[in-house]
Amino acid sequence: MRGHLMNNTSKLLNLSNVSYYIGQQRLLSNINIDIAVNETVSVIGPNGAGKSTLVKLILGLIVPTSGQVTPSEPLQIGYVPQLFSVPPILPLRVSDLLSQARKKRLTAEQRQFIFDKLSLTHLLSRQMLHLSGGETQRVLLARALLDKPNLLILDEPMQGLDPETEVWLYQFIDELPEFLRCAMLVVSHDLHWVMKGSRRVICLNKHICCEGQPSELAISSEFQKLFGHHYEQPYVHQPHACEHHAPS
Amino acid sequence: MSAWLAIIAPAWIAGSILALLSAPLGCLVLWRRMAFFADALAHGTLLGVALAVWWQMPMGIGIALVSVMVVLGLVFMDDERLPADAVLAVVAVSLLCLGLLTLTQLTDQQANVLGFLFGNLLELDWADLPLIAGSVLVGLALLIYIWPAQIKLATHEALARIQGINPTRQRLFFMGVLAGFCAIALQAVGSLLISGLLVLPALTARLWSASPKQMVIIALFTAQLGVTLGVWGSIWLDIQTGLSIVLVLASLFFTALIISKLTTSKSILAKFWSPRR
Repeated sequence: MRGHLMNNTSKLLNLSNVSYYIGQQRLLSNINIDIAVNETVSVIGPNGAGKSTLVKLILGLIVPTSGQVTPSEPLQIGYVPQLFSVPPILPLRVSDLLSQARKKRLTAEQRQFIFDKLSLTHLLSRQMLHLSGGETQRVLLARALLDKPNLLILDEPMQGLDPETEVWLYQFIDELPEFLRCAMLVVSHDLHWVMKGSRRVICLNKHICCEGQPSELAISSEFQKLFGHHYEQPYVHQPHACEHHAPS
Repeated sequence: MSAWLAIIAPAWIAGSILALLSAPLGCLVLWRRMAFFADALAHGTLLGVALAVWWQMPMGIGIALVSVMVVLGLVFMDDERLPADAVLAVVAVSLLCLGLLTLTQLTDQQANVLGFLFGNLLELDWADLPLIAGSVLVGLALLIYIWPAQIKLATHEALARIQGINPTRQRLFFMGVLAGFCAIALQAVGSLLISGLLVLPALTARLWSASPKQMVIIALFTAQLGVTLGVWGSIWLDIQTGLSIVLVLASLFFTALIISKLTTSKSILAKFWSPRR
């Protein structure tokens, strides 16, 4: 099962036989995942597959019913949550939110680089409450990166974004500069992005159905069963096709 | 005027010192959605005082005892079928009844009941000030200590937890500071009006602030104004200080609210009454 992990890369995080139950209800069972340093892993799965539960387990927000989540080195997690809203009673500017990141993890130039890349400078004095979905995502991504994480977790980062912003944001995380290089776990619905690169993909449906490189997955029968109706052959051969996003 | 000042000075100074703590604490109460909890705790102080008088203990111990009971009681009553705000309302009225019952039936404090309910700062003299100032200073130090973590928790609990912040510990810590504040504020505004002193300046400040820091600063000014006008008003109208302070704070809040509504809806008015139409 661990065959996809390169032998010469060092491990960052290991989930071994992790299960999570609420009462009798099984949310996840027998999850075994290794994440290597600087590796990008994407997690796909239908609604209710336990993707968010998996994220919470890795974040340490919930404790597995059985099994272990073991980091190999101290984890510095950057997290971009799926849903984010500031309570309206709390007046919070973008700069106030960003100041909640750990101090002095990055140099002034590196911070400025993030602000420029995510075009945040003109947003700094805006209220978090008044930002659009795409602006909020950019701020949250910056907030996570300012912590200089060694594991960046993006939980459905593209929800509510227009396709253009989506493409741009994926490109941004694909091309992080050296000083931000980190392992990434991206929970996504977007098969187009997931199947495009050569990142390891994990298909989740309460257990790990299949995992591997996108090219191997597309022919897996379990994958076909879960996603076949969304994911048709042409995308494998024409990875740049964009009809997928055309409004229907 | 100067004769009045001599009588009022201790009350005025005590109130101003208290407002230094009530303003930032009130902001946190709102941000952490603890207004109902603060109200329940404040109502509990009455029972705390009543028990202390009955058992002839220092008031602080009585109030601490009731505060701990309130927290334990709330943990016990936690039930997904019962909405939290309703549970807190039940706790608040029960504590108020028990407090009044104990105070009127088991002690000889019947004459002071109004003072406990609505506050009587004017009874204070200079000798009481060091204790109040000391307690407020301790409260402020604790508040500064937990401040960054509390703001992060108010913003987004999961993001705060990832940075290693323990929400349960922070909440208990905060509840402790709040209980301490209720104990000090009882004399000033009374059991029934403590939550007014906490919440009103912070709410007023919210209307005019763009950041947490601004909200605290504006709340501080509002609270000072409320205490000052309130203490003078209580002499002038011969009413309980708490009543008069909270009345002033409420007027400030409604004035601020009306002004803010009028100014933000100006564009709408302008649309209807535009000369071009």
